[in-house]
Formats: sequence, structure tokens, C-alpha cells
Amino acid sequence: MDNTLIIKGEELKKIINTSFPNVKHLITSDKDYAILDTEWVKKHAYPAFIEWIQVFGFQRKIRSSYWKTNWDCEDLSDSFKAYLRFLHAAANSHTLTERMKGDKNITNATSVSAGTMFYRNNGSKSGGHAINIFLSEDMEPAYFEPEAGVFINLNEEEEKSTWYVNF
Amino acid sequence: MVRKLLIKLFGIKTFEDYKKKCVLTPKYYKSPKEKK
Repeated sequence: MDNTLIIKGEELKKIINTSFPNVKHLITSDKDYAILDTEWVKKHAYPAFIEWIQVFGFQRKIRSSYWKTNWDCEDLSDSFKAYLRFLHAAANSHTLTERMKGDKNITNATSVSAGTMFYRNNGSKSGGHAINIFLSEDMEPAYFEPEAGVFINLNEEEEKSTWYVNF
Repeated sequence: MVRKLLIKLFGIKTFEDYKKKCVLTPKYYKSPKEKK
């Protein structure tokens, strides 16, 4: 039996709509999502992700961040999300046919609770910023800054300014 | 054998090292029903 904490796509949409009342683009493309342990995301997955991107020559930090003109906040958050999806798919690789023969996945959830979101820093009208969004154990949004590898808080204005969320 | 020795001596990273560091098994929260 799959004992993983899972959220259905429709329930996820409700949480996003409640948390970000002004969201214009909300994409939940999968049927259900296994909820990743946020402590594991920060302490294990993020350092491994940084190791992973070294193969592309991103080992040298620029101004103490991984930001580059052609690989900035949305690229960083999109790629961290993709990396977590790779891990999820690799760890749960048994197909339905294989499962019918007795093979078991950790979870059969079609995706993981790792998303990207765009908001305006301090409600600024000029620029936006992209970060990752996860869910806590009690299904609250948890914001992750992939440039620094830490969970952050958004103020009310920033939450209200969120216009794009993609899981 | 020689290859393994050279890798060890010069600390050369192999694909297996890289894979071990990067391909992790995700940790998920458990469903509250299962915790009881």
C-alpha cells in the first residue's frame, strides 16, 4: 500500500487559488502529487542539484549566486523542479504492468509537489522574481529560493502579487 | 586495476561518483493515516 502523503491536482488548485488570489496563470498538469519532505529538499536534494548542474559548467558562482544573464531565476527554479521530477520518476520507475506482476514503487503518484512561481519583489510593478514552491506536511505553501538553497517567507503583498504558479 | 588506482590517487571523479551524489531517492511525507 502506498503510504505517501499525496494531494490531488484539483485540491492543489484550490490551495493555490486561496493563497494567491490574483494568480493569472495556474497550471497543474498532473493527476496527483506526492508531497516531498521539505527538510529533505533543503538538506539533500538542493546540494545534489547543485552537484548535478556542475556538468554544465555552473560550478562557479557569480557574485555569490548562480545567476547568469542567460540563466537566471526562472531557469534556476524550472531546472530544480525538473531535477526533482527526474528523481521522482527514477525512484518510482515500475510501470502498471510491472506493478501487476508484484513490483512496487515507493509511490504511484504521477508527480511531486515541486512547482515554480513568479511574483513581484515587495510588490514592485517593474520586476518579477521566480522561486520554487513546495507544500508543507499540513499542505501550506512553502517558498524556496533556489539561488540560495533556503526556504523564505513572502509578505502579504508579495503573495498577492503572484501571477504565475506551475506544478 | 590501474584505472582504479589512478582514480584513487588523483581523486578523479567517475560517472559512478557523480551518479551517487546526484541520483537520490526522494523522501516524501507519510500519510497521517499510515503514521498511526
